[in-house]
Amino acid sequence: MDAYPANPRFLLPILQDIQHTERHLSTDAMKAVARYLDVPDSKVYAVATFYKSLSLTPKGEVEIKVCLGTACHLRGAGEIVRGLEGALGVKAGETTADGKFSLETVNCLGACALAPVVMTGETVRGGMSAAQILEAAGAKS
Amino acid sequence: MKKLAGLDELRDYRLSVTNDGSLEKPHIWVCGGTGCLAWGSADVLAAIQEEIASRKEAVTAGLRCESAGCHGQCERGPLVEITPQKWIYHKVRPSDAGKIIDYALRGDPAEPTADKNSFTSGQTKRVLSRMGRMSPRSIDGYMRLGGYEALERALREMTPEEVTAAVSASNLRGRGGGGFHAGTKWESCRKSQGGVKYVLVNGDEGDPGAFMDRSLMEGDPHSVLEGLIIGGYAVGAAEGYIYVRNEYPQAVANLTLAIDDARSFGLLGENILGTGFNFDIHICRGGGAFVCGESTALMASVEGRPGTPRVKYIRSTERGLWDAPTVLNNVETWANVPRIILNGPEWFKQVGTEGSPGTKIFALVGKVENTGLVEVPMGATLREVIFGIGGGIKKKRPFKAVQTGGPSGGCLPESALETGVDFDTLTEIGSMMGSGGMIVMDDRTCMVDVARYFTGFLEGESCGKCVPCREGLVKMRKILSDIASGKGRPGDVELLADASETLADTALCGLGQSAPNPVLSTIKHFRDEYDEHINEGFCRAGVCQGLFTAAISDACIGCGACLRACPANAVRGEAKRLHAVDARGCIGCGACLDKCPVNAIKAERRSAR
Amino acid sequence: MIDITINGKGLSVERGVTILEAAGELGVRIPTLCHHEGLPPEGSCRVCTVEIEQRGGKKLVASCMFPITGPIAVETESDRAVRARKFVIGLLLNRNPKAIAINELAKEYGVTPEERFASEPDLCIRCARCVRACEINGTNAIAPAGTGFGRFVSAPYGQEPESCVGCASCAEVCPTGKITYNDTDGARRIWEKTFDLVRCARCGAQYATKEQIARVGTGEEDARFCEKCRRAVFGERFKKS
Repeated sequence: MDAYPANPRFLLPILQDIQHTERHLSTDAMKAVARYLDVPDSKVYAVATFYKSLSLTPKGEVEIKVCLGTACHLRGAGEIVRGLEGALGVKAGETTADGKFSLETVNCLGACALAPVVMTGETVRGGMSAAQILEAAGAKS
Repeated sequence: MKKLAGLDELRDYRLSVTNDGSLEKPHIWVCGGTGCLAWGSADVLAAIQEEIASRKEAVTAGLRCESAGCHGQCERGPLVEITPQKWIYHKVRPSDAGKIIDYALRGDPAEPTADKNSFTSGQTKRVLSRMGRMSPRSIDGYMRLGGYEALERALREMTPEEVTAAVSASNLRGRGGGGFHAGTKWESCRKSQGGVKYVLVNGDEGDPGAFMDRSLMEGDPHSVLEGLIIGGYAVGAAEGYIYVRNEYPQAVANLTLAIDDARSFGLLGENILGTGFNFDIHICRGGGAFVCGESTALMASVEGRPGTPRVKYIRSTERGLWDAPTVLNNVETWANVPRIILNGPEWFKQVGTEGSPGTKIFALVGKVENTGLVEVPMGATLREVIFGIGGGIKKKRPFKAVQTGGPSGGCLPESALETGVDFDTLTEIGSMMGSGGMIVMDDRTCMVDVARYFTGFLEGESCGKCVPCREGLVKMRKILSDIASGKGRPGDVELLADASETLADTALCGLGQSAPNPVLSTIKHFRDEYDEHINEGFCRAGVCQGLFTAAISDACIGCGACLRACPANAVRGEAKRLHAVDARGCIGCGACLDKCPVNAIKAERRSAR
Repeated sequence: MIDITINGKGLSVERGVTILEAAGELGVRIPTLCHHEGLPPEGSCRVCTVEIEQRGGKKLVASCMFPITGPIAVETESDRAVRARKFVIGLLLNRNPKAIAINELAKEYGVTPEERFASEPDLCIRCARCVRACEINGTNAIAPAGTGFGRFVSAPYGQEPESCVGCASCAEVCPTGKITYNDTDGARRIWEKTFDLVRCARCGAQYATKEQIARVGTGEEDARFCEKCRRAVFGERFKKS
């Protein structure tokens, strides 16, 4: 937080940084940000629940993000989501009970030539099946 | 890095790097765009660099290999280019390192290069002319290819009024989709009262299937900065903000480095090049909200608030970011500015159409052979882009539709292929230019499913502030889901069209106002498909689950691929003999349709039991 | 002054006046929901939509927010405006079937519920009048959270709102009765939080919460009386002096 001046316009970047390190926004963290920036709690909560890159519940160690962009949709992204949901035992938007993996659907990642595109952590992967993705992510299918 | 204290110093420095001999020496560029990185271009880069280091002749010749921005033909990555010859190679593997180095050193391509194919020859590269043959992380590299000469000219020879007039005269129209006359925006902001003004870059490229702006921000970040600095000078802004989508970390990284370098050189900051002009740039990362591509929502986000738009009865050029006069333009629009200043408005208008001069970058994706990033003159026909540059439909399947403008745009049928891409012509025929996403669809695309997809997308991205969009998109999507699952009712198309039109008329912002376009355009051009879904429970594209049965024709070669793919064991047949689908067992999942190597399987109506 | 017409009747207005305000001057009623005179306009319910003709073109605008800056011709009940209004009322009726304000509008415009598109009944129409009231008081205890269909008005963090002082302005401006409060035995309960009510020393009315008084910073002597009695007391003192 100290990296940023105490100006309300840094609310989003501060929350994004916390999301990146803690993998979620705890109530304590949000309250601390509210104090630091002198922004009402209600406004911090509004921002925290508006942006999809922020989450109030912890994300997994490895985030598996399936792109639902148009090109990917046309090349079977829906199937991949269903396959991953089945294998991991969670629905898109949820995290496995052991905290290892969370499954997300995301907007177009801009690598449409490789559709269907999936990100495991920071790595962009194209043209893989659900089983191959799980292997790449380090999960047992 | 030394701070340049004056315009003459800038000129001298630019000329010194341009004439340092680098441009004549052989150089290898490995595409480092997100697409090629996913293909494994990082390994190719490492392999070539290692091999160069181990070969004396390469080191002596001063051969270098660096990562560059997107070369465009993403389907064929990893891409590598050798300069100064501009030879391009496709699908390069780390094991090809030796070969590539030989070609570069010998000055002999030795094998056919890809740069002569229709993908490249059909394009007119202006904004993308530097991409792929310079390092996006080097300000020297940018200057070597003409960078910052426009800024020098603007500050040395032109007043802010003259810069604005040049942009106006060029008739540059917003490349983000609105197509609004940029010069008018600039002039309005320039004239607005107020000491504090802002210039903004909309880098929140949210249209699925569009990656033009990502490629520009990653591959030629200084071109955006130069445009923005010139814009700040023109309208009287001292601060610029670049709003970059959260999902583009490489773009954020490259822009950040470019800004740092520009500051070190004195191209940003106080008293730039001794002219008394103060200007600096900050980066804001988006939060994963498509609606933040809307200008007022973007500004709310920069201010640290949720990205809910406001009504635009008062223009942002009068009261925008923090209520100050603001110019917001798209990445590609800003990237066009330096060349307009350098070469003049008449040069800009030499290419394109009268109503839409210049070029446009498109992300050509979907069922087309050559997917990737392309730049064409406005007015190039859809046929030229899809069948010329794009190489036609993948697997030679029949063309069905092309979608332009993302979720705000429409689907155009075969009859529209002769249309020239231009802001006004595309709007006239029921679509819109949009930001540049161009998605090609074949007969295996269900247009009802496409409408449902886009409506569902917008439903998920609605900010929720106004009633028509928040509640209306849910209603539209429910109707479309019903139709797509065989539960559509007679009259649903009329109900859907009526709701769509009224939503567009009533919504608070552009998201809702353009939401009906995919629906209305598919109803207009593909009404039969809607009727088939509703009246017959039939999906002719073989996409909507359960609304068709697979049928194998006698073109079958008996390879058994369909049999292996079928999850319901509904395919019968012996090796090398005609296969057949048991219609009662077929669940209509479509798995076999794409597996057949000879296109022998079609979707047919399910017969009544 | 700018010359405009509303439903054919002419009127001169000052620059910047909204169409809704101008219509009020002429006695022309335009239905509203998210609009409230004491609050900054929001323009989100779209019920006040009217059709205007400006520089040869026609379009729909939200009358509560559209500032008059040039001559325009306004039609408040044109086919296009009515179609828009019915659309919005219909959508609200599907989600908020028990809200009296919505039912009244539905009756007025002949809108009937669509069972196919009904969702879980809810009294909140997301007009955000409560939020704006809390904002204008400087308290900012509640704000809209979430997005899209899932947008809802909330105290932060799913907990009771720390900064709420129990003034109940939110309940007073809520058009559907979604926000309620309970005053019993000297205590007020709102947003699942309990507040002590202060009784006026002169008339006995429970006029505010302790926290509200503390927030506003009313002096100890003045705080003994409700606003009406405060004026009366001041008047009496003035007479005596």
